[in-house]
Amino acid sequence: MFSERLTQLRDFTQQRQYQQFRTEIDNHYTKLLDKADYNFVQRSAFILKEMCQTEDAVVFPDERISFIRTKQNIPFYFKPKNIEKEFGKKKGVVYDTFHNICPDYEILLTNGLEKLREEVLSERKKTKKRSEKIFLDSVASSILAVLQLAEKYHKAALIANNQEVADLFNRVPRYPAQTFHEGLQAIRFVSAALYLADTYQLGFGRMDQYLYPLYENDIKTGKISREEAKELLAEFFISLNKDTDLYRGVQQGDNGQSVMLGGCKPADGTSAVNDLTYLILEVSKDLKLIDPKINLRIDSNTPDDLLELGCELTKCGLGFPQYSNDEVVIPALVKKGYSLEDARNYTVAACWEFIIPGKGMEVVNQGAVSFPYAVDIAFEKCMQKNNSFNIDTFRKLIKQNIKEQVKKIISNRDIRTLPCPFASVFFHDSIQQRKDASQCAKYNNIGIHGAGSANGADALIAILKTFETKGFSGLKELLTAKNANFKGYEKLRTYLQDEMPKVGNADTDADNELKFLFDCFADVADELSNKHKKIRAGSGSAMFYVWLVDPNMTWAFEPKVNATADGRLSGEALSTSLAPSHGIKVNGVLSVLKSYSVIDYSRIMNGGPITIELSPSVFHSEDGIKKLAQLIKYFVKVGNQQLQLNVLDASVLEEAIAHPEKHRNLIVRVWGWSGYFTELAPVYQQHVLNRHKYTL
Amino acid sequence: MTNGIVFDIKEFALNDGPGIRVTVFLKGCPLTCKWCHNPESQKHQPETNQKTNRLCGKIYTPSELAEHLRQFQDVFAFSEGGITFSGGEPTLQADFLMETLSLLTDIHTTLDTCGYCESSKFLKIAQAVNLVYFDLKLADDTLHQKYTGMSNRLILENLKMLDEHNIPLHIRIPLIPTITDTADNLNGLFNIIKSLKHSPIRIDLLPYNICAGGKYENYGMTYELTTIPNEPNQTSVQHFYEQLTQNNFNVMKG
Repeated sequence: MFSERLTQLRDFTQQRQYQQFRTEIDNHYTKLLDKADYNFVQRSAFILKEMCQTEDAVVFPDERISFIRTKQNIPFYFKPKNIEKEFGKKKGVVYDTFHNICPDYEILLTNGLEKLREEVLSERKKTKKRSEKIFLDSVASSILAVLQLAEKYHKAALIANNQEVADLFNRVPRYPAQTFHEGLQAIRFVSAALYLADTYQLGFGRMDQYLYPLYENDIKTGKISREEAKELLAEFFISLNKDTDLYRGVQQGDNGQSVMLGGCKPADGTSAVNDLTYLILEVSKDLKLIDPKINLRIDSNTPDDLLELGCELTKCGLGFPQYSNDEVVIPALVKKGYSLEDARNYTVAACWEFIIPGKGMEVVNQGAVSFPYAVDIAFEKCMQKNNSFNIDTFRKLIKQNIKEQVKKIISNRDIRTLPCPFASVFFHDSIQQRKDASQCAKYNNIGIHGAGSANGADALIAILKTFETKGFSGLKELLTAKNANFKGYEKLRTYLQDEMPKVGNADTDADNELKFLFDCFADVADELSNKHKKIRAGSGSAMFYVWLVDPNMTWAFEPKVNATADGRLSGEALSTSLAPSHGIKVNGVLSVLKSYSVIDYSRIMNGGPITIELSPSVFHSEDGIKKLAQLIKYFVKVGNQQLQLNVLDASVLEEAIAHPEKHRNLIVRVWGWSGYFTELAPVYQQHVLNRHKYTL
Repeated sequence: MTNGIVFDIKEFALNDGPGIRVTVFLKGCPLTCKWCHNPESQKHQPETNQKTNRLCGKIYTPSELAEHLRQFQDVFAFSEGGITFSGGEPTLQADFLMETLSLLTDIHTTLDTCGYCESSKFLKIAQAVNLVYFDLKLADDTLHQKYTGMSNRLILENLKMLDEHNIPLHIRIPLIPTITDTADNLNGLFNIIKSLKHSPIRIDLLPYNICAGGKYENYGMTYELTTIPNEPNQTSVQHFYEQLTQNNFNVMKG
């Protein structure tokens, strides 16, 4: 499939051999910075420069795309008091560096850093404002530092007798990329440099779009063949799997290196699918590595063979591609105030949140609403009144609690992004406005997850049905049973689990409650939005599927819920994003897709996929791939938004828990990202295992 | 109206016909194949899974079942899929099946059958569906009785009858190690297939499911085939495959 050389590179990366080149940086820089009267822009530029200067250049004789991170740590370059002094201290305001967003690498490829630096310098001449001068100086010095590191790589390549890499670094990232190979090296190098500037979870955006002109030109002029391009792309992907243990995330693997493929062209909305779309999928399928995580934008006209290729990748069990339905996503973005052209250019952040490369500085993961909690607390409150239960009050209280939860997330975890002059280069109009992208990007909205929706809706319908059939006394029994964690009420619990309507079974009653919860959430998001900061309600869960049920997770203030009226026991995890509650009898995947089509995705638009665990036997059957592709078409047809298909045998996971040493490279989807199973904390391992026990 | 007993409805069933399909498993079977991997399908009446304590077998009226299935009409239409009736043996509930089919005439339907059914009823059902998946197991009647509990005479007559009426047909042969995969048996089956006037659309060779015995205990039953090999006899199966393909039969190895 791939050459011996690539296989060796892949093994080198998978065995984490790149770690042998690592050393620590001491913190003397911090002392220097302590004395300096720098603002954050300057601090960011300073630390990037120091990192670039201390990085050792490592080039291997036989590699064709270079860069390895050699410095283990980024030294402290600011203290809370620095932030306080510059930005003031406000309760609930949290500062973080650039993360969970997507730079526009087209800016890099078409300009090159040299020209971008010239633009910075020309702007510098035009301004007299001190803050603007500081910003532009910091951008210029950041670019210079990165170019010097590139120069170091050029020399190291010469020493390693690797003329090809030496030539590459002679050209990129300084000048516009002229070949596909140069484009790949430029992106590898600059994306790694962005991490040196203390950013994290940066996506790659629409790689099949911005690389295509280079690829097309190389193919047309006969510079490379499709096979050679594939080999280069494979080496590029391997390189993205290096250093990832140094990247920040909730768990290993949660590093945000997502790629978006397919979709439409921003200018006219026509199909953007090209040969590179296919090539990238093919390479990902052949390599079977965690990074980059592949996303595919689809619509009713997506070619069958592309969908089938996507299914071939699904078959590898990496948990991607993740599919997004353009027909639903683009109008929703427009409705939220995104320009049509920008909306057509969307990609995803680290997991599934729809953002615009180089234009969105949104905090897409500011917190999560717990639907099960909202239903539970409303139920408790309603039952405090003697002998009467009012459904309207119950519904009002649910909505009221959702509003309280959202308000709390906005005020108690107001995440603001700290400046990063180097990253700002890849955001539109930052240089022209002479402001850091964190202060002038076009879109600055807030995303909030809607977690545990299936459990929430199942609990809600169980309460309503109990009231309908057994009246107030039935509700009292349900309340007592629930609060006893169903101890002594096992029969009732089985009844709740087996006989009550459930989300995922295309049951109108349950699905209506699912829609009700999300409508409440969307209303609340609208009410609490303002012109500059809109709230994007989502359907994802992220790590909240375990955080929201564990009272020990004290660092997240989101309310924790005990046993719920759907029969879920205290401590049992919520289902992930959009998936039926764990352990219930599900009719099947067609019903699941139907159930979730009731959500108004024009308002629930922060992302969060329908998540389906498929049995590997799907692929053992006649036309399995073709039929799976048809299933994805059905997902589009019924108007769903996002889809994640995971294929794994639960017994393999059990075996990996027992013998982690034998399964170091086993990859699973954890939520919006894939990671090595054995590197996950046990609580996440268990969640993944439980999901795969209920394949459809 | 006749009620029916259904023990499972599987959405996105992949091996039961063209396109995206939903398969309805009707409860009850005249045969008791020793390799049956759905032991809960054999008795007609609902029964309790002793492990989960959940009842297996749900009663439907034809219109309830048709209505349930019709919700997927859109997916059937664009994927050129449809509904498959399997079991157990669906023709055991012939009246219920016919009534349900009469409510689904605009949807592609497949009958998955062991062929053991009173002939006039069988023909009516076969004519009411778009495609028949017909199982052939053992050519020798004595062996057939030994391993399935019933004679194969009626089954073979029915096959001949469908052939004469030129009903679109797949023949499915389960390859059970040491039982149906023997050279003698496969030769016998070949002769049966060869004698048909119309070539079946396809002949499917189905691998033995080594997990077949898994569910017996849950229903208070015993799985007898615990000592047969996991894999069918490669030599005889390969010979059979070649025999069929050389005679221009369309064969699929599962």
